[in-house]
Amino acid sequence: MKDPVDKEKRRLLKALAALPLGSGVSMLAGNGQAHAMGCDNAKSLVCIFLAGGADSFNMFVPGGSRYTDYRDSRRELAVAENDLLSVNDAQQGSFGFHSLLPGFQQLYTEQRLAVISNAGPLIRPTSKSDYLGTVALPQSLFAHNTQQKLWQTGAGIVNGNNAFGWGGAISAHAANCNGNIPVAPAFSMGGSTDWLASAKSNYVSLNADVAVERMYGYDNISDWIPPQRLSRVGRSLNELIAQGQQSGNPLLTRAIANAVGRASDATSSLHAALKANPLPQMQYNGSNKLAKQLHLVAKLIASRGQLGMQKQVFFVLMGGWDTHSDQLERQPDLLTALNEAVTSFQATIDDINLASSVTSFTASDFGRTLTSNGNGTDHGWGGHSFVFGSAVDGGRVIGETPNYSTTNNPDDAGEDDGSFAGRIIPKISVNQYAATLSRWMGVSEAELNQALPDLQNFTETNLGFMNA
Amino acid sequence: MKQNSHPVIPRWLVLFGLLSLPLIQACSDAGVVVGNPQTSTGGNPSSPGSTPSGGDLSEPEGGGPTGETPPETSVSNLDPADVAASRFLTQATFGPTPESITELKSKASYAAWIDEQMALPVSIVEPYTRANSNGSNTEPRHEGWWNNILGGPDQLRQRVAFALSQIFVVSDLDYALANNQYGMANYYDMLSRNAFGNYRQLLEDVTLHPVMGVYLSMVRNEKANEAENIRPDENYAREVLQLFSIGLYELNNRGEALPLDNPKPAYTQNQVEEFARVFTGWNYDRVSSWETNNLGSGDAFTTPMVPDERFHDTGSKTLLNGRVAPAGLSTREDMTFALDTIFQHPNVGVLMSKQLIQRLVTSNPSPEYIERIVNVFNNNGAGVRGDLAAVVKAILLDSEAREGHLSDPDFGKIREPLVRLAHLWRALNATTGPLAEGVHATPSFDMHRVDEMTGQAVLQSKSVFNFYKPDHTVVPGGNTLSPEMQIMSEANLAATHNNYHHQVYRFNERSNLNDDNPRVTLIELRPLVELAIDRNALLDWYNLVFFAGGMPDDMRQTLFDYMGTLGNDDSGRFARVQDTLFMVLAAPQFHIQR
Repeated sequence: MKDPVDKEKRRLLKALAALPLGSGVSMLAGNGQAHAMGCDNAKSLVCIFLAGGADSFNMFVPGGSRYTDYRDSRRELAVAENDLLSVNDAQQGSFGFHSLLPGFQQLYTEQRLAVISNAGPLIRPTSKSDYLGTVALPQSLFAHNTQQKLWQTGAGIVNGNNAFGWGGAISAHAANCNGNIPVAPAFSMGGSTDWLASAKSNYVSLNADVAVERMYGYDNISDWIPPQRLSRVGRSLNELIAQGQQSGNPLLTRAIANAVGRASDATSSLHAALKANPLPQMQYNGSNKLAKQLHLVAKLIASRGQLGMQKQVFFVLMGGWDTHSDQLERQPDLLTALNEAVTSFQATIDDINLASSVTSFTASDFGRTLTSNGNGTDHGWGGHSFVFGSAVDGGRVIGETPNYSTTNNPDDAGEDDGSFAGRIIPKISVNQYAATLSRWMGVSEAELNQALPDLQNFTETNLGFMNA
Repeated sequence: MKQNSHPVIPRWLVLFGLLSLPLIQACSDAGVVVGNPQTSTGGNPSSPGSTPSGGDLSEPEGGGPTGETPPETSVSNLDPADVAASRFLTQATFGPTPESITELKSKASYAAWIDEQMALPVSIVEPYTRANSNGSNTEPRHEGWWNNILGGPDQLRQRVAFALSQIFVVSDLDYALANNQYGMANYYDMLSRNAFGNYRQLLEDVTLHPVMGVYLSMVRNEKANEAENIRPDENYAREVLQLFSIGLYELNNRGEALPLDNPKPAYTQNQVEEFARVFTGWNYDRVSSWETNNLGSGDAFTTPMVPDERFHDTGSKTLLNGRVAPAGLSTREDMTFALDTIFQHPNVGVLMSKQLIQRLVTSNPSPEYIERIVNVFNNNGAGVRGDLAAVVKAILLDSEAREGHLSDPDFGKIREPLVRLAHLWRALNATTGPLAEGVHATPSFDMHRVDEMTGQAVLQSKSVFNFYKPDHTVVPGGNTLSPEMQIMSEANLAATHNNYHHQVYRFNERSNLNDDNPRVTLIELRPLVELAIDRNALLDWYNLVFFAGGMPDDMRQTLFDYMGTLGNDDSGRFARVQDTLFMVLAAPQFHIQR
């Protein structure tokens, strides 16, 4: 008979399999790595991705004389001036958050939230004449999937060599810090994502709508398989995984075998840690899917110790932002849910005294057109993002406020006939935003330059919104 | 023991030393000994060392059944014609069954089976949905679909319709569509009806379907109003180009976007804006005014949208390939002109062919395979472009579909989670449990959390980009595609695994059900228990039905050895079936269709 293959042996086999199909553990990892460069303080970074292209120009609105331009370009979609929740920026004057984002206003006032104004994918600084001329532009502008990919990879053109996410570069660094533990330090609650794609480290993909379950049959878990058979069933299941992982197998076979093995290992470790940290203080409407995801994130942050994680990276996703129609009906629900999820999450992180080691930020496919298509907006380019947490040097607007004027607007990519569309050309590159956040997580300059090759095209590579 | 004519392996393959491929062994008959030359052929009697007293007695770990019998090697013994038929049905249906394999073999040819399938009446979902849903309840639409998938005779049409539903995507996760289940069902039936029709008609039916009108906001899209800064909605215009017809980049007929490092866009933002102007002026049928909220008696979502010329942009529009829709065309004339323009674009056949191949046969078709199918799309032999029946037939009968697995290790695909589940239920005669007088007092399979469990549910993807993207790679930045791998997450794998556990151990015909399990689907294990007296016979059944002859040798041996630790009386055989069936369903190897 063959030797039984137990879980440890399978781990060993997996470790021999080539990454990234192999284990969730970075192959860079070894014992004692926790004292490597940039690993000193425990930190977690949370990406809140607003899928579909959020109309962030209605989330954060200029005040004063610039409000008139905003109102004239947005027409019936404009947020009424009286409804805005006022805040001030020392350099740029008054602004207002949408009335349904009081939690954002509160964090801004506490100087724990910064607004990154008009950011988006750029290969190099791009003016309107550059846009109309021959300057290299990001690939397939205005299409959902490519713009998500460009945001998440920081690349201008997506091909084989730069298909890795900048979150993935952070996760590889995190895996290096964490050393040899069974679970990868990166988690997606929003399904597959390019942001966490890495050649060096995997990420764990969880469903926040259901509890993390252990897999029956493995680890002697089953109330239904008689105990006399259970351990042998488990051994056979592990043996089948090990067979699938053999190096001579086709790529698909190895990939799915590794995925099944990872699922069994990860759910087993996470189940115990999550049970120990239920964090009941996080309160939200049960149908708020983003809040559910952030609740799971909070539990995993609270479980840093049990999981042996010094650094963690999270990706959560909220859909529904592609408001081509009925924007005035759809947007309130979206903003209400976002505000509730963010507020409750941050309160929970404050409660467990980890606020200075947890930073969260928003990103989206693109900003939307300033102009209306009748009752909604179409795909734009630049948009606002929000970064929050106690490590954020907040209460500030980072970057220039875009020009909202409907005539001779230097920031508008425009319509084909030259008329106004309000497709705003970004002034801040995803690369600059990404670099600032990555450095906070401890990623080295060398790792940064590798992850974000276009970063060198920008003078300012640290936007200064993170406290050291 | 079956006596076969000849194995399907070409002699040159044997000569070239590819003997270690498990598939070849599986395809070989008893007369050709491969892989384990020292072993006698299959068809062993019952396990020699089995204990008579039942399934729960076990030997010490690592020991054989008695410790006295020499290790025994299990060898597959299948009829190559059965294996070939099973492979074909894995691609063309929601999973082979012993009966469907026999039926296929009784036909003159696979082509004849395809012709018969295409001529069958269309199984539809809308009547069932109307009978059981108030329009907002989503479950009956799924139940109706499952009933067709599991029991409908028009399997090929249903499989193709499901593929089309993943290209021409709508989803009732959208808030406006959740309450329009009759429309959702009608949309799916529209895909089923068009599955073997012409792509051009399909594109028009998709374009004018009110459910699509809502999903991609073409309904009530109006011409520009410059005084108000209002432009036409670009939503449908963009996605019809990117997802339903030509894609982002110029393609050759081999499916390659060139140049690889920065491919040439197939259209520009300006062209999207021009198409947006084309698709203005459409409203729900039989409404009293452009913007009324009263959509009438409920047919607004099951009848095609109608034009309202007042809101149509009648200016000229520069579309693709230099084609200009002249000024003054009516709403419908403009749409016809635009869809004709799209239809004539050389990319259309490439995008459709490659994605249909990916859904049915393999994730990484060779450029030559793609080109052969594109040629059929472009001309079915009788001068017709866009003949989907000819395309589907060519995809399934192509030499690469039939024999690609023999030479290409990367041939095949990850099975779609719903197809995998459907296959289990079809193969093991799934029935509704006795306590399942369900939500609607109708026969219903257990639909609870099917999307959470599998990451997939019919017409319920998270966005118009489907459950997964056609260009998702196994390794980030790699070349090998596997769309389905995108949803093989820890969460989905764990949930499906545990569901299979419950299915095997808790929900079969011997289960004692109680009120905690009011709505369950039961599988029937009895036929397998009868086979389990002979471990090899049971393994051959799995190998034929679930693996189309491709169960790897080492996996087979693991199951064989495991069963040797169990008894061979009724409870031992039942244990053999439960444990090995669970292992089969849980195995990474079963996730792959080759």
